[in-house]
Amino acid sequence: MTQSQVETDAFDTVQGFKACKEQTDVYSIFLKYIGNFGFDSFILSGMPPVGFRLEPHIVMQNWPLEWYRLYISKSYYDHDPVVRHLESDMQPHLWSDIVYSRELTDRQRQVMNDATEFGLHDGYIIPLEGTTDLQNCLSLSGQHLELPPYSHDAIYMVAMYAHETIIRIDEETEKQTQHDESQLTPREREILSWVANGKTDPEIGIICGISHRTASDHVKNAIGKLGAVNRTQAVVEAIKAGQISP
Amino acid sequence: MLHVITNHNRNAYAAQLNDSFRVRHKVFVDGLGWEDLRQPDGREIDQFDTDDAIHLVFLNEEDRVVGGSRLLPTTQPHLLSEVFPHLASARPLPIGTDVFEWTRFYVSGSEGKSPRDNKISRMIMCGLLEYCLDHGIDTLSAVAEPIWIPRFFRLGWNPEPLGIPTQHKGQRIMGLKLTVSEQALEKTRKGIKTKTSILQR
Repeated sequence: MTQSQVETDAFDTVQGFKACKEQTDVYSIFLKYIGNFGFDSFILSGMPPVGFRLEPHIVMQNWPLEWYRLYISKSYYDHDPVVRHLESDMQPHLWSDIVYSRELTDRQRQVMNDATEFGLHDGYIIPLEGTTDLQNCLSLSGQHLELPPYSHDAIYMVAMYAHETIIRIDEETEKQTQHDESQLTPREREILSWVANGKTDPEIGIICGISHRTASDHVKNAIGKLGAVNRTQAVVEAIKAGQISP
Repeated sequence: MLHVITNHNRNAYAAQLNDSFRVRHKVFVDGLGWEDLRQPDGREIDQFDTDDAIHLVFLNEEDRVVGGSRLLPTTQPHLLSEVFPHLASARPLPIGTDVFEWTRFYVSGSEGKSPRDNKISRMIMCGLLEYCLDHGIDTLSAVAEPIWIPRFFRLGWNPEPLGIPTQHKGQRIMGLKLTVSEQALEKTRKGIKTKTSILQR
């Protein structure tokens, strides 16, 4: 790949992230992009301190299952020299550059040897700014990497945008969920429909076979969910949202 | 407060402007080691500190400069057009009367590291946005380290790359285009829990 191809590819990919609505969109666009360089597996994760479980912090990964199981069950995270290197140097690096620059312990060497067994011959690790106190990192790997010198920084940039897109979609999903919390239960809809018909809580209680206090609670909940200030506004909002019929 | 020094009021602010050049020298030359900017008088002034440059200086209660930044009109020669045009190899350099280049972002006492996330740097960013919104500047260009991308993203500045990051004197830098908006100001203010103006108008 020429330098301009690498650049065009990176910019098209970053542009593509803008339209992503689902994490799966980011996943497939990113996987296709890194595939150009021979990467076929990756893991994106928060970096808990040594001794803590890695699994709850994993955001996305497509490692070979057997390797994943081994890595988790043998706590390889604690002994992975590539990950440990980031503690002192928060820059993206080729796995092989880190391995050659460090004196590895037997345990660390075993992690790297086992990775190779599962087709993770070499890789590229990229530290990313987390959304909590923990740093995140993205590790890409494959059997036969083809990385022209200028591609490292391009991949680093694309990885940052992929990561930010994942965070953006997370936030949007969270907002969506909050919005869904304005969804009334069938019972609340029924009772609010009676409110719309001008019934008082005691009347609704009789109609629905519940106490007037329970009817009152349902109305209060509906008012809260719809962000209304009183029952009249709750009725208006519910009609506007199509939750009850006018 | 963040004070704005332009060609129109630089006489009234002569002492503060002078102070800002000294702080810049401490931060960029002594701290970050940008040796080609070293000046014998200890005042870091470059070819872009012309009459057109807009200096934003953050003054403490004693009227001393504790941080600041600089805006350059992109219709005049600026850093990206003259020194780093190769950082905009993938996208055209944003240029126009409503586009300014944001340079020399510094906080006193942060020598040796870029002004990442302390309160003063965030306040300068808020004041800078306020200034841009006041003056119809809707786009900024900048030479920045890629680690700023997440920060700009999360503060609503919509960072768009102009080219692939490259190594420059042991530092990874890239050209960025940023969008000025009310939403960005709101998000940037959130981190320092302020709703009021930082800008001395």
